[in-house]
Amino acid sequence: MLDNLTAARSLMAISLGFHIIFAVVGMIVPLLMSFAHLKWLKTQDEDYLILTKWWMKGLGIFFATGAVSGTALSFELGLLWPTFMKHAGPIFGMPFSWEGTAFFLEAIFLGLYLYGFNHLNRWTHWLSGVGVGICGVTSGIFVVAANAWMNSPQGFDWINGAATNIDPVKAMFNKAWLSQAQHTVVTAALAVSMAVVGIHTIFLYLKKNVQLNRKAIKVAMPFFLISAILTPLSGDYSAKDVAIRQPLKLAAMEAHFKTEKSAPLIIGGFPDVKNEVVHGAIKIPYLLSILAFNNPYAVVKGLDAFPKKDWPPLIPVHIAFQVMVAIGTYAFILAIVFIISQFLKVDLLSNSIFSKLLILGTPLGFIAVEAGWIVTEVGRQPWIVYGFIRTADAVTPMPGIEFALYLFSGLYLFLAVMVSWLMWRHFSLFKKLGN
Amino acid sequence: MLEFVILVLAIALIFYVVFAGADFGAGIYELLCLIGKRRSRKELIEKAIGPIWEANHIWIIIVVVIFFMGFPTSFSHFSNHLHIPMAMILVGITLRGTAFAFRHYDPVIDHWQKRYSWLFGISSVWTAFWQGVVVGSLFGVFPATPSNFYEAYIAPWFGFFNLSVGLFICAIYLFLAHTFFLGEDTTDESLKRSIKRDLWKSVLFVIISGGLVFLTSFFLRPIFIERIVGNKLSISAVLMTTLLLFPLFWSYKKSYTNISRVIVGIQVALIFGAVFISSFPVLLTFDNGTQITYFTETAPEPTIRQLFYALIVGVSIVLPFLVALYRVFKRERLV
Repeated sequence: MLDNLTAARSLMAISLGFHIIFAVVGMIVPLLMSFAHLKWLKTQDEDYLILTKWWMKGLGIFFATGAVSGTALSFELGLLWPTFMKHAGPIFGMPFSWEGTAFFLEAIFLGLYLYGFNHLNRWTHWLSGVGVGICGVTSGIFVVAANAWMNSPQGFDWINGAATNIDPVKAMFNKAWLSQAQHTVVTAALAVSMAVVGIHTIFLYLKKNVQLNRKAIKVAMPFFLISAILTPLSGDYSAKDVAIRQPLKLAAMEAHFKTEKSAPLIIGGFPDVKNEVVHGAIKIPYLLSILAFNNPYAVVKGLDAFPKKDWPPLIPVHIAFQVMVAIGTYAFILAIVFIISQFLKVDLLSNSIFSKLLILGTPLGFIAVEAGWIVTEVGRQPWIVYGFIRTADAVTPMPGIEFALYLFSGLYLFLAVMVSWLMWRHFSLFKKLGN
Repeated sequence: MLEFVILVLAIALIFYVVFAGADFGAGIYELLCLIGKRRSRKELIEKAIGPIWEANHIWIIIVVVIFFMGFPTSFSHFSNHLHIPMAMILVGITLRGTAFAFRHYDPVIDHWQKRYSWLFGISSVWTAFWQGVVVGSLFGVFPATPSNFYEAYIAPWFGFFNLSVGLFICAIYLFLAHTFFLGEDTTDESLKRSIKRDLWKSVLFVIISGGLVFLTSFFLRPIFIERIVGNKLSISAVLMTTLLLFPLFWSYKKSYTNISRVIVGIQVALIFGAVFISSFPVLLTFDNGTQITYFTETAPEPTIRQLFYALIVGVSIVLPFLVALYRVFKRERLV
């Protein structure tokens, strides 16, 4: 039988892992859709209208699923971690209260947009689509503020196991917010735009609706190029921030066991926690010190600088970090190659190898998003509020959470299958369009 | 400031019950049509609630956020002792929300539509019922020092009174939906007649289940009746709800559908307002006699102040857009 803590953590991980996909789509697809819509309004080219409506219908499925899984999460915080919510609610609730407004507006704009084609003035209608995207991104930024507080708690004094002198404003504007929020938005844009480019490249590769799919790629490609180029910069900023705020997390991400000067960057490999070594890794001298502190001689704290009881699970954190960086690098290279091809006036979309590389990228952005959240969340363990409340102390006392885990895992699995199947039907019809 | 927060909490709850309640009722209605092998009301439902569907359900998120930010101790107790019914609500919310969206956005119209409808209907009843169970538990006692699983996690919500409140909520939602559909723009006369017939059945269902709530309360949970009768505002609200039945029936007869909608909305708001006020300011009562109220164990003042600002700004921004949304999609049916 699973213990309560493991079951609660697993359930939270599954819920977050499920929700994040829908949240990311809900943030970025409205922007793509509005861009296509704008092109239709300006050119009256029917293909852009088809694209707008196509993405709109996909968005409808993702938004609804994301809205309910997000509602479930807001309840789960209390159901699984009542002690945490009792202490943390008054401190980190502020961004949630602002997120509520943003999400409410997002739902209103979505209603206006989805059903407004024949009801609204065309520019008002378009603006409501833009509103969905802006509110979606704003909503995401607020939620990340709450998560950032868990990584970088401030705005209270912890005395005798309780928070006093609470300052919710200071808690909301915590040190991790900016770095987490910017990385979330940039990588969300990368994941979605890479997937959209990839999906339409599949159709292009199959020679289905060539013009329509080229236009779809033309809409999504700028998002992909900008986000793919920004991602390494954004990641670097984020990692430097973690190096200062949560050196233990950085050490886990890198599987960096020993504190040392001129620390090497460890690429790949499998951490052997018992013997405190990494098997099969490539080590690049000085690079970790440079990346973390802009100084090749900087001392980077290793895991040995912290008590073992405070170490997060190394293997998932290290592997997830490697996966995330690898995918970010892959997207960056594709973007650079594509930009160069544009200067050289080479049509890479007609190139079979490049098309296959774009197609391969379809799921990768989402895998990177999941990996990123594993790094953030698992990397913070064993703390639920870093340095203050341990996850084990916050879990619900109600026994049998294992059954809730099975119930909700089954539910999310069912929904994942249903959404995938619906999207399959959606794409099958799209394939036939114009033929 | 705290008073304003409590007011918004009450209003958000009432709005959720009235607006999302009509959506839940639509699902229950759909299920009854499926069971009775009658024509699906899919088009009618989607026309009536489609555009405002998502917005209607945000109220519950507002309620949850106000609770955990402003009243964290109570939220923690509710989450703990009402874990099971709340988990059941979550299952229902998730399934019905997705079933509704899948049915609407599935690009292929085939036999799956019926499956979505079944799922939408069953999960609507399921969620509404468990919501009622949770509402009923607010009139119970919570264990101060539970000695076993049953005392801690079952007893706070399990009992005939709670189950009858669950039924009553289903009835109220169905009643809301029927009244809401009355005014929908349909040229199908047989559909109009059928909705009207069903409306009377739902009125009967409300009366019977409401009676059951009072009956079970009388024998098992007298505090409910004591609080309602003992509070002047609550009993006035109940009496007003009853008196409003006369103009309601008149508006039904005259087919003044928008007047019917407004009256039913007011009635449901009054019922839940009565329930809210009757126990105010008590949030939780423990079996050792101690209580948590809206004014004890609340969040510290700086938190309440920030919540107040967020709600003021939120309400000021959201309300005009929400009104615009309703106007855009309902204006052709305004009296």
